[in-house]
Amino acid sequence: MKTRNQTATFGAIALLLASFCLAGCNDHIDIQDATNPPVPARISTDTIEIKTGIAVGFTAVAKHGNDEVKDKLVEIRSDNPLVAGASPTVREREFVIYGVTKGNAQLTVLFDGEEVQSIPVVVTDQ
Amino acid sequence: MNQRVLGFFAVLALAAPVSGCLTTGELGGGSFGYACPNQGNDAACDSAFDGQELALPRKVAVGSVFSLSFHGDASSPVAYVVDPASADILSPSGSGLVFQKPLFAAVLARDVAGRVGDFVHLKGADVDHLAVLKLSNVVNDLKLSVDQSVTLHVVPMDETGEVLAGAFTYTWTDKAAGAVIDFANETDLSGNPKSNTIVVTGKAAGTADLAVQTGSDTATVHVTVGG
Repeated sequence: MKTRNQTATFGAIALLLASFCLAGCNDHIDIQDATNPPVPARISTDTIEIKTGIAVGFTAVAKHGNDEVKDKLVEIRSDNPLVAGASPTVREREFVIYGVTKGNAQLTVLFDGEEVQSIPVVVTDQ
Repeated sequence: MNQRVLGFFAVLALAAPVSGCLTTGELGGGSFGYACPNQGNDAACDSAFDGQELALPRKVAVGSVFSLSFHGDASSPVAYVVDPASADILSPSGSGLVFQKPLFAAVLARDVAGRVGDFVHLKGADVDHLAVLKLSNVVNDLKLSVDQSVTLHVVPMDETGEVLAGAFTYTWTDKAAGAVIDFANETDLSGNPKSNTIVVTGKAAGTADLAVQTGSDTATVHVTVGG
């Protein structure tokens, strides 16, 4: 009986740790130092809302949980560049996203070529 | 963005020192210049010399042609092409750019790998009317003596009366068919005719209506020549 209780306790702890990791231990980016376009845009890692013809630049801070990751190549790609463009700048981990035409797209974040995050983008007319 | 498409997108610029005060990009990675390849037909270039680059204007006329250049970090000279974010709003035209709509448009400077050196936003604006200027004053009625000459200049304006940048081709018409006045386009320092600037000379006593047109916009100056 004691063994069964210990097993249950360990299981609960493991489940708790796993759920913490699901929430915070994954690879992802934080967005910092976003520029201020003349027409407001919403820029976050949950969603991006931007107008056609408008561009926003930002720095992508690579993270594993709360720890910054400095040794991986960070890329951001758009699955629909006819709607939303995503380009790296000449500076490391700096990117520009821009609205091309009205519609929806997804940005994919990659660390060393491995997909770690997806960000929905909504482009609307000015 | 493939390289073939990028090739269309207007102005090639090298990171090189330029004269004048340019506009810093929104990432702080370089400067954008408004190019004045010749002085004619662009109100923004009236005081520029051939080939000079200026700071970006506040507004550019929808339908006009203009060119931008980008000068990146001088410590790493790289060729850039200027690439509008949305061709629905700002599109390439020959070696220049044309606003299609009166909206903001981001322009990205890309290197050969497609990486962005910097970007900037420009504002397009509809032409509300043309204004004919004598020096800097709007002129609707002009009085001349025989053999007296004055220089007239046409500029596009928005609904607030702000002069818009961008080149148009203007056509001047004397409705009195040369009986009262003569006029001729001025030329720039390279000898190219400036269709936005003419020299009008009184020829014989009488009146004439001098019209200037671009697209669907027209302005008329009533000229009276005294004896």
